[in-house]
Amino acid sequence: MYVAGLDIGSQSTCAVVWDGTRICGFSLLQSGVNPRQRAEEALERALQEAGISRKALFRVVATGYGRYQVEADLRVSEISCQARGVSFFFPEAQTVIDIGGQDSKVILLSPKTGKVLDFIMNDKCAAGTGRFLELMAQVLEIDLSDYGTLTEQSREEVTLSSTCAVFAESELVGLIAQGKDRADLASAVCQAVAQRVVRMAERLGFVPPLAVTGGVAQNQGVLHFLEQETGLKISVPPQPLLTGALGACLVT
Amino acid sequence: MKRGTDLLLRSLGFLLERPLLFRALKPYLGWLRRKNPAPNLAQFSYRTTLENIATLYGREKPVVWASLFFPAEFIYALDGAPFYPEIAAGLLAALGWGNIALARAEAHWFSPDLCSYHRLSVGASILRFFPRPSMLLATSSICRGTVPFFETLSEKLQVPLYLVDVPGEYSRDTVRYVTAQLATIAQTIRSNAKSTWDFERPFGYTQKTIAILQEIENLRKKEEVMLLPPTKNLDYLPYYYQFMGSETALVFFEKLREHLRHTPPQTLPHRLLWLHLKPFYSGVLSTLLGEFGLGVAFEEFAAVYSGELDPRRPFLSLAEKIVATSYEFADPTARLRRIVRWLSEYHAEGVIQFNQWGCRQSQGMNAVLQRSLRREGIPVLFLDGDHLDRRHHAEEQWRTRLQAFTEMLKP
Repeated sequence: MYVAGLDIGSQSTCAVVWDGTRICGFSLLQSGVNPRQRAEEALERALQEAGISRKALFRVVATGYGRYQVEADLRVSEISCQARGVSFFFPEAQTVIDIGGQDSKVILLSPKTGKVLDFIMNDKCAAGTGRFLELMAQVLEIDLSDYGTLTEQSREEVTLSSTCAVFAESELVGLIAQGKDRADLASAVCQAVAQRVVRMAERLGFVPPLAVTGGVAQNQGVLHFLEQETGLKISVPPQPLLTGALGACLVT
Repeated sequence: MKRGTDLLLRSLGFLLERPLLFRALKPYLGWLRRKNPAPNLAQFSYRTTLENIATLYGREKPVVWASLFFPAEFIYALDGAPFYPEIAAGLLAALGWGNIALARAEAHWFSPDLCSYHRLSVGASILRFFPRPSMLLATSSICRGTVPFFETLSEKLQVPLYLVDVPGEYSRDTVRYVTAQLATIAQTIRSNAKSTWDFERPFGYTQKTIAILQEIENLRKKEEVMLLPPTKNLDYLPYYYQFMGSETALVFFEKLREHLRHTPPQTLPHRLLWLHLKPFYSGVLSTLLGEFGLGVAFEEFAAVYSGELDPRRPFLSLAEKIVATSYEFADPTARLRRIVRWLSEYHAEGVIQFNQWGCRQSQGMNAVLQRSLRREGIPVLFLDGDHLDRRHHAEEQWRTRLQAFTEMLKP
């Protein structure tokens, strides 16, 4: 019995086709300005990869901020879906940190079942999200993929005094004018994101094992500081952008 | 602000300060009473609103502004017309005028970081939207912003302010301390305004109203009874505060009791406790709660003091009320104890608190609430936003949080 999960996020749209035991097809697209159309496209591609038609699907489950904009049999919050998706890869996980394009969340879950026990989401500020990393990358004139390497190269610790996205941008411009090294500044941006998210996780009272999902889970710089701030080894699923869509397939 | 809008607002402020205009409502109100001597709940609310407007803006009695936790019985005993700017701010926001008043306050250097109940009230006062008071009464209890807010109003409106300092502890000494302050304030008012005091009537009304409220709450404790749409009871806040101690509150709650008795059972799948207030400028949150099957079994702000009010010892009775209410709302242990008791009495499975932007009373206790309730296995959700300032509105964020919370509640 095939099930499709659609995770329509602010930055990326993911589709996963699940055959009851494994992922048999998936696709990942930029969400763009028309999430409904992009979700359809993502689903078609995932179905092609799975080698099945849409008629073969038992149901389509949508999650993510665009879940109400697409046709689906069921709509589930991304919090429940992330928990279920992570539980599939790491059955012992008890905390998930999901850092997406426009928000970040910390979820406490029951080991093995993946049932949500409690959660917390960031406030309306872009700081502590993928969008913050994007904005700062523009100021630093680097690619998002450069953060990891630059963090490794960093020699001097620079602290961004504020993680408000707007203030941080002007602060970063000031630091560039002072001649600070770009690697140190990139590292400071990653540290600022990690610190903000970990403070949120501390408010909830996070419990190891800890897994990180979302687009920012691919950022080695942020992961480095998340491990440093929590003092824990962090698990990252093989495709951290797919856990929401996979979780959508697995919800009952 | 555009010149045309400014002129319109000035004209409105001018008209609101013409008592004769509002006294002209009296014949209509008389006709309304004769036409429908037994109004239903909604008709009674409509009539009360108009009567209140006629009394306050028609200046038939001295208008006395008070902070939310200053007992209205004190003002009724003085034969004054109580006006609660924090309640009126909610009403103004509900009418869609909130942003105009907020903008006016901000233009006068009141920071957007201040509580919007206070900011909006200051803006509305500058715009002369609120009825001009003879005096101000405030307690320092529960909300830390109340004292500077009322001091600002006193300075802006050039009217005397009588402040009651309320200690956080509930004891014989603290009650005695507040009693002495109330007696001094009453004496000062009496000598300044040559007023006479009658506590018998307002205390009598309150005692009768409390008895009706207890019947209402006994009905609401039944699993098949729920006030809908969710959070509806918070719209009745003026009857719990401003009208407490008057015939208006008594009649209103009698009607609410009849409404609950005779409305066919209606509930939503989940029964919850609601802490603090809610956004008054939009009904979206209530719709979302209904959509996810999240019903409100009881609201923290509907918890009224049920101790005896003795007209022979009026200041002691009111001091007991002030100190006990302050302690129950603001002391974390006392607040938590009440919440756990309500959860059991109202068969509620979780708690939602709508955090008001900048509110220390509610947000300051988030950590204690979350940890203590989680230890008891009770789900708790904090929604962030603003009760009056729609610029802090984030519907999609509420939707995601509410949906995830509902999914957590499912067995």
